[in-house]
Amino acid sequence: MIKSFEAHNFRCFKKLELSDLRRINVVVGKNATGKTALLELVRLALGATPQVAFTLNQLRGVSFYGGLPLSREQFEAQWNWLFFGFDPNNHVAAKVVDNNSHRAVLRISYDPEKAVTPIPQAGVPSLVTTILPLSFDRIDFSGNASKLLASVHPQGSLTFDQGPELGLATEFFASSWILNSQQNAGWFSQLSLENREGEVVQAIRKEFGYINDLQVLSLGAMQQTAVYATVPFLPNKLPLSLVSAGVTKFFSILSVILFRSHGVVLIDEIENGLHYERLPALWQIMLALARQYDTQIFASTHSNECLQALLSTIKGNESDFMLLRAERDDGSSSIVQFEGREFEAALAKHGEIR
Amino acid sequence: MRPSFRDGAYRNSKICHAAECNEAGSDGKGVGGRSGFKHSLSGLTPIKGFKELKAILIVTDHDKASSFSEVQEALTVNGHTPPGVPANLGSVHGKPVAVLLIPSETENGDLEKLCFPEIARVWPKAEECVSAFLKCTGADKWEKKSSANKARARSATVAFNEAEPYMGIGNLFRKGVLSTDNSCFDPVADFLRAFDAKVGIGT
Repeated sequence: MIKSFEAHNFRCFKKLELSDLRRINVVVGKNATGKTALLELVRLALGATPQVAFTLNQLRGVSFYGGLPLSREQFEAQWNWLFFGFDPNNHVAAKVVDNNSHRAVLRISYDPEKAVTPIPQAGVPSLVTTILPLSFDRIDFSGNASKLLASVHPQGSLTFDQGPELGLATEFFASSWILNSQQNAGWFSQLSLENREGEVVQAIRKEFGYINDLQVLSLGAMQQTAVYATVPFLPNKLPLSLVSAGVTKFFSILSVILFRSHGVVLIDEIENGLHYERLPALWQIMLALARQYDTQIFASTHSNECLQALLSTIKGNESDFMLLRAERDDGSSSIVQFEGREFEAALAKHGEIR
Repeated sequence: MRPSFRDGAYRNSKICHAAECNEAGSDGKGVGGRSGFKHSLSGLTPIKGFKELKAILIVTDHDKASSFSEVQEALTVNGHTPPGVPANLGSVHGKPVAVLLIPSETENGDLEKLCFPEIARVWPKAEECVSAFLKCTGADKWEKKSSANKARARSATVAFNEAEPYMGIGNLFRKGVLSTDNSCFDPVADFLRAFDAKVGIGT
């Protein structure tokens, strides 16, 4: 679990310090205060690869590919959104300390020592530009240092160095989460292989009484793999995604808590797609599974209904919770922390905490 | 000149708010009395706008000799600094705090007892009629004086307010049926004026 976290110059955060983080950390705040950016920062600090950063930008819809060969401006346009004030002179830095006091560090900056000049394409008039790769300088939780680059081939196309995460696996559910049947099937298959799928199936059956069972099937000429649901009033099994997107999301969250055992799950706008009646059970099951499988959760929400649904779970379990409120002041975002006892008491008062 | 702010709006809002907290509302948003107050204190800081607050005023019925000491104890067990006497300032989450006892520091009672002279002014037969009613029901002999006071005040507001008999005391002030322009509220007004001055509200 992450215990403390410090970062500089990422998106809207000039400086960020979080301490005493808990099993479930609930993120609230007005629009454009940094809720999603906080989740992205945790994902990036632990994932720490060019592909992770690129994917985060893609999820925000700000990644684009210029023509080949990429110019320096086009290359840096992929990445400058990461830097506070869009100023790459302020490198991104993150330091994560886990509950065993192990540290991981990430620094992101352009590296002039690794400059690349792509070969101009014959017959294509273009300026020859030199590209400074984006360097991900990392130290993982075991103390191993490494460097990964986002750069360009001599032909001018993007290239990313591959590498492992820093020691705590993460999974990020964006608010624009799109149902991915293959991914769900992959998680569920792995859980089934390890005989761990039963708890997810049991929870789904309890909350959605019209589902009797779940299993992974590969069907069709293309052998498309998906999780299928057994529904008693239907003659055939049905892809879970056809039962309901909300049920699929519920299933995905529970599956990934088990799949990312000892890791971190980040969920943006957790309430999206879920009926309010399901929210109390979701929180309760999430806490139980997260404790059992040592998974840490960061979940953002705009919804007072979602927060109030948490009350029955947080009572008596206050030490497992932290409220993180994103606020924006003078052009920079910050996070204010409230421990579980304060969080619970404020919810009990129906106070406005978002 | 004796401090008084019989300009209506300011006192009205303070008395209305005190009545609201006392009534705890059908939505359950009251603090739940002095027993629920301990828990409620720890829920203050996450609430939006808390850091902009200048001060905190805790309003409680003086229905027992121990009313003030119960508030002091609730503050202490939550790690706060209670005021030594009601009008002095303590500290809650770094904000100055005082305790307003209703009807006053020197008189036992509650909000209903405080307001009854005004109820009797608006409906002069209230005292006579309600006394007879409570004698008839036996409420005049209730051991719990706060219950008797509530029965007295609310019987009057229900039975004399033909237009809206269900209306609570807070709304009766807000709608102008009852007024804080009665000298019975002077001790509260004096306390509030002194409190505002101590914490710099309105300066």
